[in-house]
Amino acid sequence: MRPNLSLLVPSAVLLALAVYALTGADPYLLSVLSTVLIYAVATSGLNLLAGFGGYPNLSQATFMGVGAYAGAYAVNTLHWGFWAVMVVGPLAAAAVGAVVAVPLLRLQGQYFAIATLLLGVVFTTVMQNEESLGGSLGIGGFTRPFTDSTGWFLFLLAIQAVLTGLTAWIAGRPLGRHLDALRQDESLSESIGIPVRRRKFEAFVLGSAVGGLAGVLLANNSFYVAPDLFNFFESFLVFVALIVGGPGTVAGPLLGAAFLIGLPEAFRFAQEARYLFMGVAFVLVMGLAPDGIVGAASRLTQRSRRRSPRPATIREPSREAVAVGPGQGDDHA
Amino acid sequence: MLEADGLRRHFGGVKAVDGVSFTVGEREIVGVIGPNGSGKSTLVSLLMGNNRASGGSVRFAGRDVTRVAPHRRVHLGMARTFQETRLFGDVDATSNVTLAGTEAGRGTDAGQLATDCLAFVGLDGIEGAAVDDLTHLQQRLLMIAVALASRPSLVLLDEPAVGTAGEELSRMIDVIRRIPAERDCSVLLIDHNMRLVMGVCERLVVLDFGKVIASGPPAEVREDPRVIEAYFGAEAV
Ligand SMILES: Nc1ncnc2c1ncn2[C@@H]1O[C@H](COP(=O)(O)OP(=O)(O)O)[C@@H](O)[C@H]1O
Ligand SMILES: [Mg+2]
Repeated sequence: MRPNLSLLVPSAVLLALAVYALTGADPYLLSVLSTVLIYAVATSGLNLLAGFGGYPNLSQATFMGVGAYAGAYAVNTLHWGFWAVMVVGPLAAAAVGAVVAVPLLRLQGQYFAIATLLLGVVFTTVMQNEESLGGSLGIGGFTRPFTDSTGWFLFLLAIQAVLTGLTAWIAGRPLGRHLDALRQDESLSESIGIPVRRRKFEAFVLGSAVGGLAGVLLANNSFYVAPDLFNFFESFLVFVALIVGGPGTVAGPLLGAAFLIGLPEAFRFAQEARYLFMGVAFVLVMGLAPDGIVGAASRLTQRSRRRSPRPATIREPSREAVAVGPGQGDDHA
Repeated sequence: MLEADGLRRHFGGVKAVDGVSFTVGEREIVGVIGPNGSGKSTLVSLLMGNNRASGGSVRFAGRDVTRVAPHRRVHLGMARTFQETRLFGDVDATSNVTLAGTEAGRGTDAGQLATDCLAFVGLDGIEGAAVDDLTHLQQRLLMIAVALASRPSLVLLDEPAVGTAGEELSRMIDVIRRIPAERDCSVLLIDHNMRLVMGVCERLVVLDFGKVIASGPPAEVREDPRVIEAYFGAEAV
């Protein structure tokens, strides 16, 4: 059983954030935290295929872009309202995801990574040249019902809370279990009866839809979208957030997004050099916690819980058990 | 049970499997032998569907499965192990078996199946051990337990005894020999270890350069001049 699927930590964090927002938060901090939540949504979507499934998907910002621009089109051309836009963004991202998933999921490892990265290059190039949607300058026109920043923040918080619960739920369902298995060995997985292709497809499309949702939220957060918000570097950063937070865990996306958004804010004084600080921080975190913040935390708590790390006798008695026959292997207990 | 008919698979110019036909009957142990690179592993992948056939057909339990996805073949009653050691490394030994039992256990409780299959291969006692902490033989036996956890009626074993000798090999031979009667399951056994296939198989199929060059009872095949030249000859060099 994977130890990192607990809802305890993320629930506590989300609750603390709600209390903070309701008890007169600092407006600047609240706006930073809103952005953290939006990227936590994006990272939660990525967590399915990249986290549980282990596929290096470098296109999550692209799907945020598809959602955001679908929203921009719906608002400016079709004059749709906020709630319709909230639906159309994820749907558009899911549709694009379903189409590109078929060729992309034939690839693995670095080839998959490169192909997803190129998807982002294509998308930003297209949007930069699409004058009806603002070209490289971007486009606005977004309106939202949550006009005060506290209400908007709580709305974002509620969405991330739902996604956190959804992640924990999926982890225990066949989809989560199968992604977990195929991350470890795809051929073995299909050879024990797991529908590998279908699960990867579901994870990609569902993850894209959640990415599209994050894109719509980002657009409504700043009332504005531009192609550069969704370029391949942004996709890469969302991926880094997942790796830092803890891929395939429930709390990982939230913690990773805090790292992704919080650190550049903390190093704001350094201006352009803040990405250098981020890089250094990334190397430090990965050095201390190769399986992300959640992994490190759960290893620490487990160490204190069980004294001896592993029965050192397992190798020898088991060898005897094999040589002698069944029923002899329990003498080392 | 299993019928391969004219199976072919080409990799560029390499005819890895080139028109292979044979059958495996119910609760029969059939061996496939042949020198390295003769197409044995490719044949297993074609039979299981991990690799797509360039030609020919596979019938299983009276049904054409040539275009059926591998995971569906598992649900129809086929299972396989790999030549290389493949296990789920992030979970413990028992969970490896439980995982397979959960997917295709056909209603049997997965935990029960796991206990049962581990006992069958003689691994009761390793329960919570990490896969990396197992000996090579234990890992190879665990792979068989994983394959049997889907309660197959045919299991394809690709060089299960690779890297074992002496007493370890005897242990492996014993497990394989007990599969038909105790698991109600046919076996297609790939190996080039003579002691293993001669001791266990009722029938042998000999591959060379992707083609069947001989087939029949082990004693007969052993005397076949083409086999002596292609296989035993090659091994003696
Ligand atoms: N995926 C592959 N791509 C290219 N050639 C392959 C591939 N798999 C196997 N081959 C070739 O097919 C032939 C048969 O290989 P294999 O089935 O592994 O033989 P065996 O298991 O009998 O040793 C070899 O020449 C091997 O190089
Ligand atoms: Mg082989």
